[in-house]
Amino acid sequence: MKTTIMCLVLLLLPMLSRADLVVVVSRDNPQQLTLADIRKIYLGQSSTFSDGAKALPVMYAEGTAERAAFVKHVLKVSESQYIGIWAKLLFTGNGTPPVELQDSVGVEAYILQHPQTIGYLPRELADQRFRIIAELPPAVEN
Amino acid sequence: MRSHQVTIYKLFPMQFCRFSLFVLLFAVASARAGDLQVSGFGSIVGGTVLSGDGYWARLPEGAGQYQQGLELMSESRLALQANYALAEQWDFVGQFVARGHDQFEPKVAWLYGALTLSSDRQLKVGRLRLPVYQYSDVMDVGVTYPWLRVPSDAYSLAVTEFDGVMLSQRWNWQAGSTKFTIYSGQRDTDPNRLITAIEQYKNEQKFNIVGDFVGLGDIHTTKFYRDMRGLVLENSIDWLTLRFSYLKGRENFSYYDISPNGYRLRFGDEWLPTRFLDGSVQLDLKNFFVVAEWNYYQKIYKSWFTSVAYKAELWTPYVYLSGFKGTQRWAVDPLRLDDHYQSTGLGLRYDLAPRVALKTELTLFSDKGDAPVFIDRNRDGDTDATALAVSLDFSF
Repeated sequence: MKTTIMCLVLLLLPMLSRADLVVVVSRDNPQQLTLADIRKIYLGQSSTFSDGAKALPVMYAEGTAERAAFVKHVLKVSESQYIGIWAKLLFTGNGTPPVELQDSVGVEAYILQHPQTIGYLPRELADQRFRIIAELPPAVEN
Repeated sequence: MRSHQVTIYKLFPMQFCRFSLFVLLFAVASARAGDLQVSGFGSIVGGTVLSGDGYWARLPEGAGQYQQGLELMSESRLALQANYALAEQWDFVGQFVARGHDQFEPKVAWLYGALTLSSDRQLKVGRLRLPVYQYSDVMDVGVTYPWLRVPSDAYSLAVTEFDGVMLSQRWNWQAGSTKFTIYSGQRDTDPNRLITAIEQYKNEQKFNIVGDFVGLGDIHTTKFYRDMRGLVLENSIDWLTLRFSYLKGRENFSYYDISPNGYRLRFGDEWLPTRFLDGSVQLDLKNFFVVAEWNYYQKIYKSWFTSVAYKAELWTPYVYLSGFKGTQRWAVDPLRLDDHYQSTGLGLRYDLAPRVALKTELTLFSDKGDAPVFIDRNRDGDTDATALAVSLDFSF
């Protein structure tokens, strides 16, 4: 049974495309951000929203399809580059990596509990409790 | 000269026992404190010499010496960092590095309190890395750069840390960001292991009556740095980063002979003004990474390096050129004034996992000066070498 579930998960993971993810904040958070602003926050180049309020970015854990899509299509770096950027900031005392959570349930709960959080979710989970501030850019066909 | 030459089959059980205890203490601490975050990094570096009498990477503190066989101790290192959030605005950071060069005895690399004055302004007080170079802060963190090691010809300052205070301010612009840092402090190095080794190779090589090398004479050197005041200006505009650093202060260099009666000052022990300048340009394009850095240590040396790396998914091949030219403010032997050498590195990084990188590098070291920079068995002042090294860099 476990093997069957694992196989299903592995089959479904690649189906999570960039169009399925949206960047969200909690409903009461008034912030407006561009994809460039989001990228700066997630790569440690900025720690605040445009009005100066502290931003708390949240990530899915390593190995999840949501994280892979976000890192590739929004941050536009490889997973190794993302790890390296934050290792540099962490080990020089210039930043702490985003909180990492295992699944959408954890991400949803964290965003709702911490009003300054910015996160991303599969579109179908971004209900009225959240406000969508960005969608992943459309794919460029090669 | 004490050698750390160890063959692969005699590897370090005692040293790892010591480091394991160090890891255990951190694990216990982290289990007891929710506001304590523990992370770490390391590099296991193995190297050998393909031609020449030996190769010496020199950093940090004289590490990176390769003579014969496979050497695994000289540059290998493990580090643990603890970040403790004391209050809303106060954090304490301690980073302890255990180097094979020091028999894996943990030493404090960073230990400071950080006061966040605003989201873009921070004050740090304690032991900090001297931010003179582009890669000063991450020299030990191999996973953060493409090379097997930061090209050491250009990173030759005899002090890497200081005790003092640092204030940083960052401005974010639409197109990029600017970071301005000022700092002040001091640092005493006694002995200064890098300078001691440099002077031993330059002045203290001993040969018997038939001309065979028999060892290095014992000396002791110290360098004290006081009234250090510096600034760093770094501008990042998308893929372009420009960085400038300036440091001034006073330094005192002393050179002692070691005899059965103790240390005898041969020369030095004089306070002199000192200045250090560094500038770098970094281009981080889609697939190409290009960097060039140049520095000037007033009346002591000029050095530089430039490198190109190509990022192709998991593979990153790279090449670098680096050089050092001494101007010898202090000279023990006036006939050996000319420290001048260059290195060419050809290497490859492969990302085994997001936090693990395997690297290899072929280093061609060309000694262009009169002063030997390693063992000079034929006594011609020429210490060319070709070295091959492999490393496994990781973070956790």
